[in-house]
Parts: sequence; structure tokens; C-alpha cells
Amino acid sequence: MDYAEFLSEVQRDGSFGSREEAEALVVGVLMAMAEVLPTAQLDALASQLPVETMVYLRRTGSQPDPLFDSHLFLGWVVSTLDATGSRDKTVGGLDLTAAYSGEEAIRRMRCVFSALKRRLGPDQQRELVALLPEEVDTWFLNA
Amino acid sequence: MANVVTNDMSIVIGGDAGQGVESSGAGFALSFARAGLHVFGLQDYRSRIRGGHNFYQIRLSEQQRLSHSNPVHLVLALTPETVDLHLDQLAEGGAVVFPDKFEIDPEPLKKRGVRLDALPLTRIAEEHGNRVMTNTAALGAAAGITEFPLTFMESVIRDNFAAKGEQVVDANLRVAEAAYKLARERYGADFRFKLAPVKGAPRRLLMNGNEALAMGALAGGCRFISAYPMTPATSVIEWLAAVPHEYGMVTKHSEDEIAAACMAIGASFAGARAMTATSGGGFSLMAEAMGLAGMTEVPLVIVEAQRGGPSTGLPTRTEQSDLLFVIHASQGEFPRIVTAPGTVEECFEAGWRAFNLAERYQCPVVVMTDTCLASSLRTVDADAIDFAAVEIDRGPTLTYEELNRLSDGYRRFQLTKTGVSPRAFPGHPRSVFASSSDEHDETGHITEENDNRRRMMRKRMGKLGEAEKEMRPPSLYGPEKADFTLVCWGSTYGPCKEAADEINEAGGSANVLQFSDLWPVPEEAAAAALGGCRRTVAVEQNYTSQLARLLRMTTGIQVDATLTKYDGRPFAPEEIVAGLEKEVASGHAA
Amino acid sequence: MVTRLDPKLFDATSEITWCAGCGDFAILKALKLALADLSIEPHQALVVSGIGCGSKLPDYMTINGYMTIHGRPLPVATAAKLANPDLHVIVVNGDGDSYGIGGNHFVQSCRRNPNITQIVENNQIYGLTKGQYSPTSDKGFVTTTSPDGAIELAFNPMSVALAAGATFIARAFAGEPKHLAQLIAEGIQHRGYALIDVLQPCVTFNRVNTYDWYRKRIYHLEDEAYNPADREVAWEKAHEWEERIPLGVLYRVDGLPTYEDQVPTLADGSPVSRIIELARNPRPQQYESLKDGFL
Repeated sequence: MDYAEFLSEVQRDGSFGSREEAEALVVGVLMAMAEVLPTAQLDALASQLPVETMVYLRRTGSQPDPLFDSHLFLGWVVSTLDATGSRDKTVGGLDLTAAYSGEEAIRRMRCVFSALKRRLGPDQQRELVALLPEEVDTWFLNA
Repeated sequence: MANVVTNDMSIVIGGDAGQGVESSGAGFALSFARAGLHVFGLQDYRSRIRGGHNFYQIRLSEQQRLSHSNPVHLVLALTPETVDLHLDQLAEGGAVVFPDKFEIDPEPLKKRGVRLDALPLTRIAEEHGNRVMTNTAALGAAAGITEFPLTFMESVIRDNFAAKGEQVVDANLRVAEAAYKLARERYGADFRFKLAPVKGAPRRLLMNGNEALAMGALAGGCRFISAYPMTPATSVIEWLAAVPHEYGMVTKHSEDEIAAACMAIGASFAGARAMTATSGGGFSLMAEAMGLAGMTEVPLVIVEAQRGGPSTGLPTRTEQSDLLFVIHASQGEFPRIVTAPGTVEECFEAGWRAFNLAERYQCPVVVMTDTCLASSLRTVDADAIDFAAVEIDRGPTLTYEELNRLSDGYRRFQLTKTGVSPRAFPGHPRSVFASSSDEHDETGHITEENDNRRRMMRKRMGKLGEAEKEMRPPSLYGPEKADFTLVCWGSTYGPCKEAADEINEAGGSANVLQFSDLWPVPEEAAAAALGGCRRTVAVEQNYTSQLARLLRMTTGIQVDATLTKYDGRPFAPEEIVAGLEKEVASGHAA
Repeated sequence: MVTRLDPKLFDATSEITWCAGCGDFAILKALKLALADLSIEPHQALVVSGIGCGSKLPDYMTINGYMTIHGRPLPVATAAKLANPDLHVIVVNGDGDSYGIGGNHFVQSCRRNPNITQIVENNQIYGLTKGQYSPTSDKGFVTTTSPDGAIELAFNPMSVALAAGATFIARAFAGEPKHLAQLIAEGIQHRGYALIDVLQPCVTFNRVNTYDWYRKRIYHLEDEAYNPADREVAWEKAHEWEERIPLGVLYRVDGLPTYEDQVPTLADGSPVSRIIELARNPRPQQYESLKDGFL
């Protein structure tokens, strides 16, 4: 299936303004998954997804860090959020909408998870849920 | 010969920096102290290592003297310049002793009735030791002219030069003896001013305010000092660093004053009695740390030995111009205690009392002194430094037994009636706690909630009201009722006391109102004391009469006149007397 | 790593104010784990922080904590250790707090070698004040106070620490919490000053140095037969940054005396133990001999 189709699904689902935005998000989520999944699962996942995603589902060598948690997972995703905001004239610095970034990141992450789930069989999905960190597994399940 | 005056004179030894004026002056002062005389030794030097005029002025008396005084009777001039610089101070019948190779114009001296006593000082030094010992020769000569037994000087020479070896000691002794003999022979007989040992005098210590303060702190249980060298406070940490290791005094010469203050706070936070010592410029750097201590209710003792400002100012000279700054330093509002001893004995007491106050109210305590009090040497009765009278009171600091009995969660900033919370330090399993410089709740965790904020402000500031109850009222010296009251604080007390004595002896009427606890101002007592005076004159070593302003700000009472001095030299009693006379004549003191 | 205590002992109920995805979460977790692994209980440790997002860390733990003022946790911590050497003292602060305003204390601590551990949350930006550049921001980094790009060279804590004589210098990445926890434990165990500089993305304000940016560059010294006792190689590694960033223990020297070891007045007690004793038993006679020096 098509990478472009994959991205359009995500874009539609999340009401993103552009394909680029959707792509940045997809890349972020895939790289985060590459941090937590063992190589075998990464390869299995890659085989079910458009070939363009393979490069992101790669981890250099070492075992996944057992302490990698939902906070770190979110961190990879939040980085992809387009920062909207402007200069804060009163206290200095930038006024970025960080308040919603967590919620927004989870919302967006779920769009990617939905698109993934549509391409994975129930067994594979169960396997993933077992390997994802606490909380991330719930986000995946509820996507 | 006109009337001989025994044991009532002042001697100046003057020369260039690098000629050993300070150390020989101090040594000379010690010889008189050992002989049972009262000594007041005043240094005057510049912020340089070599060159520039320095002098040491020693006042000798059989009575306790709290100030130098300006008629000088003997000047030991190690440079020709010294003669010119001290000419105006010389009293009739006085003498100038100098190396005979100097060319001094005798006329101005003759006009004042002062003798020129030339002596081959440099030659004596070179003959019996070496040129460096010219100052020893001058001192020996002084002893000779005043016919003061050489043995006392000899004992000091032995002690001071012992570390340099027997040869150096012997050389100095020979120099002193040769100069002594020659001077006495040539000039002793007709010099009016004599010095003689006082029989039966009690044991006295010759010490300065810094040393007394440091000693008091040690006796009060302080075992940590962090400081950055700054004139005139440096000798506080130096003295404590030199006490025997058995006392367990940890000293840290830190990288800067900010570190010095923060280290003292860290040590105190951990449960030690900790202090730092600095001057105005260093205290400026500590302003933020003051706030940290105040906000996190950590006891902190800071010694602020004031000097001539502003900025680098007059680094080696005296002033008392930081009072309002110290009282208000740091952003926001929090309690602090400020106290200013006026004499060496009061410095000793302030040294240990500061820690009791700091721990009773868990706040910063600043002990203010100045160059004059910090470094002038004075004879103090050995018994006046009474270690048995030192109290160690840690306030509501929890003991281990009390910690063991704690049941529910320990709250470091627990609200109490007085605002002072029971205090634990890190280490006990029942009292794990947080402290934050941000506004916080009773547990020490950060919160900006407004009700909590109001409670915490009232808690902290309430401690100030509690502390005020134990702030000492100003003390009165002299007759209870007088025409003039000299209102003062810090080292100015000394010359004020002498001035009042002089005025009263001459038939006038004066007393002295000395403020020592300056913040929180004991308002009721201050108002009552001021109210009971006929005419108040605030005598201060600053430009803006800061104590007068402080008193007006808190009690509403304005003093009648002010006498200020801001040239970096300490008040002499005569200046105060003259100032008062002007005040009487014109309504303006200075 | 076998956990001896339950890390949950260090948990607290305070609301954590860090942004979602902040690298500080990993540092907090790693610190709890390290302490638990070393069987250090909350009352035996003291965490001293400065000011900044990361400096709120002690507020989120059950442990003795002291959140001080900007740039100054090191002197506070150093003296707390001198006053009571039995405490495990840990400093936690940000790159601005430690390498900027606290720079002097940082350099002095490296050569002073107090037995404390410092964890620097290095996110190459000022987060709490909303996005200005920091001492470790790369040259050219654009922020509200560097609209034309940061002019100065980035501060290099590894090389500065090495030059100043630090005896344990390490770097970790918040995205690898297990490795981070191991390094923290090693640092705490090290006798002397231990620096662990933690590369920690600020997901809100630093859009350049992201998790991905670090992931593309970091590598582990352990994987390359590296000898952390070799000062010359350490100096070279300390300057690797643009394309490759080494993680792990960059340099260590064991067996040197700590600052406290060399303070003779700590031999028979500490400032804390002594005042406790003196408050019970002042023994004023012990000071009389001090008068001799003034007679």
C-alpha cells in the first residue's frame, strides 16, 4: 500500500493542515517505537507498513532501554508539534502553547496508532501492546 | 623642668608602607600593656604594600581609654614626611625623634614648643643588626626618652622574633638597647612625658574587635566559617583558621563572597553554627543570599566590618555608612537582626550572642563593626573575657530525643504562635524535609496559593515582633540628666564617652546614649530614652546620619542636631567636643 | 541492576509542573533508581538545586531537599557536606545555573574535589524563562535573546571540567534512562566530585536539539574499548560534538583524597556533631589558653 495514502489517513484523522505536518508526526511516533521495541518486532512492524517507514523503525544496536516510559515516548512526539506562539512581551521569552502539548501529542499519537492498527492483525496488535510502556499501551489500545 | 606628666601621653610612629610601622607599632603597644598600662592603638595605613605614609598612634594611660586622642607627645619619624604630616598634632613640650641623616626644618617645630631629637637610628640599626631594624631603634629610643624600662620591650622582641631565630632576636635586642641608652642619655632628662610600669595592675589582653568577635563566636559553638579576604574583616577568619585543630573549627576561604555566604547557609542548613565575615563590598554581593536565608529560615551570622565607601572607597579606613543598607538588603521582606557592638568587650559578647539570636529566630543576624573597632588594639581585662558567662541557646532546634518522638510527618515550616518552627536538620529518618527559596507551605514544598502566602508572610514577619521583645534598649553613660546627649552606635561610642567625660570634667553637662541592637529597633525603649533627653546630637561616621534617620523612621523622633565625619579617620574626642561647642554657638554642629 | 530499596520510597505527591515529554522525568526516575540501588534512604541524602525547571526536582521527591538560588547550589552543597560528612549530597541544576551564572563555583568545585555528585540537566536553553539561549547553546542558535544567532562558542563542560581537575566526568542522555541511572550510581559511589552532564531535550522551547537530534549523534564510549583513565584521549573526546557525541564516563581518577579528607579539623567530629555536644556540655575552660596569645 501507499505511503502517501498512509499519510493522508493520518492527516484526515487528525485534521492537520498539511501533509508535512502529518509526516513529521508519523516519523516521530515511529522513532519513538524504535526506542522501545525489540528488533524482531520492529522488523515485523516494518514489513506491514509502507517501505518508506523502514528507515525510522531502525535502532542502532543496543537493547531497548527498560526504563523508557510514557514520558520519554511523549517527548519524541511533542518535538514534532508545530510550535505556535509568539513573543511574550510581559515576562519575556516565547509564549508557546505548552499547556496542551501533552494532550495534543496524545491525540495526534492516536491518529498514527489508528492508522497502524488498520494495517496490523489482532495478534500483532496484542504483541505490541505487551511491549509498549505503561500508558502508551493504553493509548494504543484506545486509538 | 615644667611639670612632669607620667603615664598620660600619645606616641606616633610614622613611616612608609613597607617599613614595618604596623607590626612594630603593635609590638610597642604590647610592651606597655605588659607593664600594666592601658593602651589604645590606632592604625592608619593605605591600601598598598609599599610606599605611602603609614602611622601607628598609641595612647597610654592608667585609665581605660576607648579612643585615641590628638595631642601627640612623641613622634617617631621613619621618613622626613612624617614630621610634616603630624606637626599639627604635636603638643607643647613634645618631641620628634628621627634618624639624624634627615634634614628637618626646625622652625615650625620650635614655634610649637616641640623638640627635634635627632639620633643615629639607621647607623645603630646597621651596626648592631641591619637597616631593616631602624624601627626597632626608633622604639628603643622612645623607651629611652620616656625613661620606660627596656625589659618590657625586650620581652616583646623575644616573642615576636622567636620564629626568625636567635640571631635575629639578639640583633634586635642589641639595636633596641643601643638606641635606648643613647636616647635616654641625650634626651631623657628634660623630656616632660614619662612612662612607668603600673604596679599591681591585673592581667590584661591587648586585642582588637575582630579577635574578640572571633573568640566569642568560637566560644559560642561556631565551628564553620567561610569568608573571602576583605579589609578590615580578614583577621576574623585568619584568627579562627589559626586556633588549634582540637577545637574542630572548619574554615573555608571561598572563591568569592557569594560562595562565602552560600557556604555558611549550607553548613547552617545541615545543622552547624556557621558564619561569614566581610566588609561592605562583600556584603553587597551577599544580598541575595541574605534573602535565601531569610526565606528558608536558616540561621546565618554575618559580620559586616564597615569601611570607607562607596565602591572601593577607602579600603583601609573607617566609616559607618552601611547601616540602612544592611537593614534593608535583599529583595522582599523578611526578618533579620542587626546589632552593633561598641567596644572590644561588646564584640566578644556579640560573637556568641549572634548565634543564639540566629537560632532562636531562624534568620540572618548581622553584627556590624568598622575598621576602627575591628583593628584598633585595646587593653581589656582578662577577666572581662568570661567564657563561663557564654550561653549556648539553640532555640526550638529539635534534639535527637525529640526527633525520635515525632509521630506524624515533620513540617519544617510549621505554623506556630511565635512564627518560629521546630527545627530539624537532614539526617534523622523522622524529619525528611524540603526547603525552597520559592514561596512554600509548611512542608517546604513550592506553592503560590494566596491564603498560604499570607500565612507564611505573617509567620516570617511575626518573628520580627518576637525578636523586638529581646532587643536591648539603648544604654546611657554619664549623668542621667544632661544638657547634651551624644547619640551614637558602634565604635563612635568610644570617642563620645571620652568627649562626655572631658565636657563634664570641665564643668559642662553631657551624657551618651549608645544604641547597640539596631534592628528591629526596640521602639518603645528608644522613644522613651530619646524623649528623656534635653538636646540630642547624633554623632556618626557617615554623611547622611543613618542612625538618626533610622530612629526617626521608627519612633518618629528627630534628633536635635547631627555631627558627621566621613573622611575615613575615626572621631577624636576633641573633635566631638569642638563640634558641640559649635553647635551651641550656631545651632549647627558640623 | 538489582534494586535494593523500593524506588517508590522517594516518590512524592507534589504536582509535577514539567511539560509533557520533558527529559527531566527521566532524570528524576534515574536518580530515584540510583539511590534505591545503592540502598541510600531518603533521610541519608540531601539534594540541593538552583533555579530553573529542572531545579524543581527536589520538590518532586521525598528526600531532604534544598532549592536555593540561581547558580548557587554548589557552595551550599559543599558546605553542607563539610558540616555533616555523613550525608550523601547531590546537586541537581540546569546548564544555565551551573555553567553560566554558577560557572565560577563549577570550576572551583572541579579543582576542589568535594565528595558530592552533580547532575546537570543540560537542555541547551533557558526553559523556565521561556526560551533564551544558554551557555551550552550551539553557536548560531536563534532565540529571543539571540535573534541573529548566538555569537559565543558553546560552553564545553567536559573540557572545562577536565582542565580544572575534576576526578569523575561523565555524560548521559535522558533518552537512555537506564544508562543514566547507572552513571548516577557510579557518580555517587565515586569518592570525590562527580559530574554527570545529562543531555536532556527541552521539548517545548528547543526545536533543534531534540531526542532525534541526540539519537543521531550519541555513541557509547564503553562500546569502543575506551580507557577513562587516559587524560589525553579524554581531552580529544571532550571536544567531540557536532557529528558524534560520546556518552559514558569520559574521565575518572580514583583514590585521590577528597576535599573533606584533607581538612584536619574534621578528624574528630564535624561542625554539626560538635555543636550538638557543646550545647549539652560547653566546657568553657577549654578556651582559656587562647588568651595567652594576647598577653
